[in-house]
Amino acid sequence: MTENQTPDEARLVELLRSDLPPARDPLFRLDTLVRLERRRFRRQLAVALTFGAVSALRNLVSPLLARVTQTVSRAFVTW
Amino acid sequence: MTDDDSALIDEIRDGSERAFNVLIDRHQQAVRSFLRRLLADASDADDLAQETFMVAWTRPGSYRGDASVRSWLCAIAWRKARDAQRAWFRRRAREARWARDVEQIAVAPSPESAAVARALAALPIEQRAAVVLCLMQDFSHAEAAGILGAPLGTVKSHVARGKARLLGALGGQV
Repeated sequence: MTENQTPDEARLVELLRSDLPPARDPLFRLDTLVRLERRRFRRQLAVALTFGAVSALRNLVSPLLARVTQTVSRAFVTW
Repeated sequence: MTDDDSALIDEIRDGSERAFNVLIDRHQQAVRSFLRRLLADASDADDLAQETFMVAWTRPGSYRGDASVRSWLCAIAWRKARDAQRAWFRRRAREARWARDVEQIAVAPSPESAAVARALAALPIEQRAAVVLCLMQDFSHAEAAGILGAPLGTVKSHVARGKARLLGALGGQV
């Protein structure tokens, strides 16, 4: 109890401070680190999937583009 | 401790996981107890506490060094709690759970703590946060104002009103 506190106020503070989480909680730290790793993994997976999707799309589109370019250039030559 | 903490934040900026571990060990109790008093549901509170530390890891640059690291973490925790409260559906569910948890509290430790828990739950969240920061966590009014992003006068008034209501509830039990 501090100098300015009434006994009721001191009791109130005591009640508010009861049932605190432990001062040291390795499990909480571990859970936080697991969450961090999970988030990193998800981000890396998203980047890998994006790259994969982009290269797959490029592989799909590039033969078509090559064919179109050939056709157009042939048309120009004939003309 | 404050200088130590600032050094930790510098190390976290450089990507030190060791510093991050120390930061969690040093401040988890303060952040979790603040959130537990705000939200009542311990698992929700711990969830937001972990999110708070995630922000500390991903955005250590948001610590400007003008307040303690504990204040900075509590400010992040406060924004997380307020955002969570603002989500309507989650708030509805949480209020239902809060009512259930308060009933459990009423059975668990003592009639006094149950009365205080009920009175605390009945306070608006800004008032609850101000009371918890100043009475439970020993922050000054000015520090609490910085954490809550509210004017000093408002925080003082929140603490005075909240304390009066909690004392009223406690008085009813004595």
